[in-house]
Amino acid sequence: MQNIEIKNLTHTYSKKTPYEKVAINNISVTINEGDFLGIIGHTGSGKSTFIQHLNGLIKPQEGEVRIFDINLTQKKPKPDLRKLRQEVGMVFQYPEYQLFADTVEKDIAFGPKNLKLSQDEIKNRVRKAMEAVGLDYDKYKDRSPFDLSGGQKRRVAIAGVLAMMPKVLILDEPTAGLDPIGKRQILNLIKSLKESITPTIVVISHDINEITQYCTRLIVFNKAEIAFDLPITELFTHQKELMQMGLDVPLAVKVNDYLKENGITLEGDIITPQELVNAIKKYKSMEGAL
Amino acid sequence: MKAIQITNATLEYKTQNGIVRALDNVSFNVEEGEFIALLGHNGSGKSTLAKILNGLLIPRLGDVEIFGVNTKDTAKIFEIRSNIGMVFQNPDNQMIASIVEDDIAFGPENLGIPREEIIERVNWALEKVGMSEHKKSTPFKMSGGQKQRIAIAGILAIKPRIIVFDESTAMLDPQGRNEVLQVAKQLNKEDNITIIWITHYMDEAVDSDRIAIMTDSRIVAIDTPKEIFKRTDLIEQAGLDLPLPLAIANQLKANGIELQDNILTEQQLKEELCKILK
Repeated sequence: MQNIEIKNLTHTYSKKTPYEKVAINNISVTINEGDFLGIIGHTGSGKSTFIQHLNGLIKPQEGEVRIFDINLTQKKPKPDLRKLRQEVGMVFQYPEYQLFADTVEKDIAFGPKNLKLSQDEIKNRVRKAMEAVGLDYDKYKDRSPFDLSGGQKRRVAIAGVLAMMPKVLILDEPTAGLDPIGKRQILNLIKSLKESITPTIVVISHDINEITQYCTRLIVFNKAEIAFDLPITELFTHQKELMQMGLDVPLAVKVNDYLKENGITLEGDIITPQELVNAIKKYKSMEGAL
Repeated sequence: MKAIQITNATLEYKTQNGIVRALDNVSFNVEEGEFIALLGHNGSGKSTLAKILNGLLIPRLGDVEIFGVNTKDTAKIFEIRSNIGMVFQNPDNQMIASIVEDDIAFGPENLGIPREEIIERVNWALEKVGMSEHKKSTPFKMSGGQKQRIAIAGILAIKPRIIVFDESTAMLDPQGRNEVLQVAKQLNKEDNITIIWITHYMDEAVDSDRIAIMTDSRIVAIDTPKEIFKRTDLIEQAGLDLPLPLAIANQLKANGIELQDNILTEQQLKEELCKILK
């Protein structure tokens, strides 16, 4: 099922001024239910402008944006942005900077409260969201979010978005600035959300080794356009082009290519470290059999 | 002479929840010209350690000496601060002027250096970080990596002998990270500037002379990258990761494939695999 459909979208900042800059240029994307989509691209390539269209923070200047049954291009009647923002949850970069309440519970309850839900339903949603991000409700609900560790703060911020029960979750650089433990926790969290709570997830990341561990499809932005939109298993056949765009490819891909150049051909798709290890194991055992 | 000599430094912060010890009897020496990577989980005390180096904080117990000058000596605090520069995480918080050359001149201007020499220093500093052609530009529209390099140039203009990078690459994309790391390495090699490099990225630490690991307000290990990353139990306890090439090598070893020790970089992994598979 199509959740999001974007056709020929163009956005220009500071139009008709000397600072005029085309941020995205004539892009078309379809995001389907169940997609685990990664977005990569150089700083300034248009990634953030693109995702801001997905929950109506930027209105389409040219082109069409349809999200579920909400058509953002139409002028009358006005598109229902309230509904849109419930359906598409957005976790910004460094979301912990947006924490504001004096307890974890109040902070997470802020969104559902604005939906005018009953007290019981709000409490229920807060509890579920906290469970989803791995924070014990009774232990943490009365704590100040500002006394938590960096990784915990970020999980509270993500819980605040989950409490709106979005159908699509978008995360912009979800692990930036965290230490290795915090990173691992957030990565595991994203994987478990995909399995049990939010069917469709979009992640922006600069860390190619990280994003290839969970996303199944990658969109590559380059100079305001979509350079590639491919399943992860196909993308890295374009290694040269990606490197020309100043983008990194996963370590396992680089190692595999180096081996190939030196006459050692491993079998199968090799993108993650685990796949590399398995392929080398197999190669070694076949060598032994010969 | 030692660039940095920390002896039994202990320091506490007052917080709402009482007193928290941020440094617990830390001793740590750095020779001039060393490149030291400082690793540790969030809240382990890394940034506090950075702040006692230039007297932003003074330890309650113990001493910090920078080229033999104690940070407790308030009369000499300016001498210390002109010897040791700091680059922080967020480049936007470190810009004060709207034109690059003015921003870099700010430091030496405050030291009362003659105009001709300031101009010389600004040009030299910009060249060092590879930003000469941006001298007259405004920093606000630059990439994160470029902004950090401007911040470094601003520090270089004071001619410090030590530079502390406190997670200076955390907010940058891979290209920006690499730009900043290369500038730091080059300053270390060519100008013998002592570098303290604080990071969460293990791959940024593998080329350093020594790695120091902090856990719970203490330094728990200081050694060469080779020796440090051999101690997988220590890395795990400290809440850190292994560099990815080493993690892959270890996994292969666990699967019965013999590899040499000390694979820390991509290149080493490639070459070793080539050797054993051919």
